[in-house]
Parts: sequence; C-alpha cells; structure tokens
Amino acid sequence: MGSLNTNTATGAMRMADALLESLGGTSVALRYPVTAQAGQDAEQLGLAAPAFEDVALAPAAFRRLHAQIETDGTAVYELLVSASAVNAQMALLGLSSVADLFASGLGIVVRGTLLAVLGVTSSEAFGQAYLYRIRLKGPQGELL
Amino acid sequence: MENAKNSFYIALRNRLVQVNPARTVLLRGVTRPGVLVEENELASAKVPNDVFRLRWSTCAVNAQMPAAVEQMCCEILYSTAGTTNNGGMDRGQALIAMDSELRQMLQPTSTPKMCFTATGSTAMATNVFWTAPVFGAVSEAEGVLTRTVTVEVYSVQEVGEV
Repeated sequence: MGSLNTNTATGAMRMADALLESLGGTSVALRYPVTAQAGQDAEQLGLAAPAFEDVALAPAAFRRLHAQIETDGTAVYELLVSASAVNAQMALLGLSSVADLFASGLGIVVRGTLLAVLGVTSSEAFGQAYLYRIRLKGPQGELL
Repeated sequence: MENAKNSFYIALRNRLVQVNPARTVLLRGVTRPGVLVEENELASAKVPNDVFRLRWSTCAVNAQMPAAVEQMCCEILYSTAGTTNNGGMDRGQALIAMDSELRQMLQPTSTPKMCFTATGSTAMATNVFWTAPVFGAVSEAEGVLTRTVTVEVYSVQEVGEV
C-alpha cells in the first residue's frame, strides 16, 4: 500500500502552486542576457549590446508592498513565485543556485515593465523551498 | 577619448593573459581574462573578487598644445577574500600577487591607439600612454581586501576623433 503521508516538500510546492493560481496566477518573466560571444571585443567594450531573453515564471502573484513609496517616484513591490517555476528555469539555464539566477538577470518583467530585483527570500518546508518572495523596485501607479 | 579608453583596456587584458593566464572571470557564460570595464558590464551584475575592474572617472582636454591632448583618470579596483579553504588567511598574499600582476600589466607605459567598432578594429597613428600607478590604501570589509590604483591615461586627439 502506498504511503498516504502528505507531509512532503513536494506537497508544499503543490499547495503553493494552487494558492498562487487561486490568487490570479500571473505570469512574469525574468529578463536574462544570453551567453556572451567568446573572443568578441565589441561586447567587452560596450560597442555591441548583448541580446536578452525573457524566461517565464508562473504561477506568480504580484502586489504592492505596504504603502511604501520612495522619494524618487518609485515604489517597492512584492512578487510571490512558485519554487517549481524557479527550479524549472534554473535547470533550463544550467544554474546551480537561486542567488545566481536572480543575480545574473537584468530584472523581472511584469506587465511589460522591467523591475529591478532588490532581494529574494524563500519559504521552506522540510528543508526545501516551496515559494520565493522577491522584492522589486519600479515606477509607482502603473502596474497595479 | 573612446579609442584611448578602449585601447588601454585591450592592452591590459592582453597583457594579463601573458602575466597570469589563470586569472579569469566567468561573465555571462563566457570565461574571459580577469579584467573588465565596469561601465561596459550589466549594472545589476554582482561585483566579482580576484578580478581587475577599470572605472573611468575624471577627464580633461588640453587644447593649448599643437594637437589636443586628452587626459583621463582610470581607477583600477580589485578585491580579494583569499582562498575560501584557508579561511581567507592568505588574503594579504593574494592582494600582493594582484599588486604585482598589475605593475607588470602597466609596463611598458604605452600601447598603440586603435579604433574599435562593432565589427573590428584598425590601427591609428599615435599611442596611448600613461603615468606610473598610484597604489591607494587597502580597505577591508567583511574579510574582503580592496585596493584602488589610479593611473592617468593620455592620448593625442587625432583628426576625426571626438
């Protein structure tokens, strides 16, 4: 008889996916520079811009963080992303850590606007992340 | 000024390959010699240790000479935390090694000026030359030693250059 124990990290991840889908299931994208061209001086000299690609992260939930408004006309937002989506993109891009994934990205595209990543924290169950909480900075009033 | 800045960087990069080919950096999936120009990399990129970072600051043009002479200040920054397996106890030695490498990279104190475009490069008529490096004091933060070295880079403005 198979185990009926549902106290697993996979279960927590499925629960997070369902929760995010129920909150609207937004799809956002991590803007990521494609691999640089080896031996090309132009890119190292800033004469040729690298190409970028957007990799989708879904399901996700996007919201403004408190009523926090910066003096420079920007606002801080929070993005909740399923760990299953992040893990899938990490595997696809051949990266070994979540820190590398977000550090090497240019930012996150939400509804056509590129937002800068301020920080990433995770919620864990049984030693494994099931949800990532990403703090973003961007223009106020246009996204919500 | 752009040609002088680019020629200076390319000279340092090519010289580093001769001085210490093992000093490399992995940037956007490609392993390169361990020297970069900060303003040419992603603004969001994490600052790597054990790599020479060129930062251009002040500039001036002396138009009193028969040909205008451009002067640009290049700050060369490098940081090291030593070897992780040694608990960083060799970070002083690692910094001295980088000091030595930089001194070698800056000799001789000139390089032919090149005109770089997105498709290639062509040699120009004059050289880019620079002063002896001024080694700044070492700063330490969370076990990472950082030094800033300043070099004044000069170039004669050729016809058609901006």
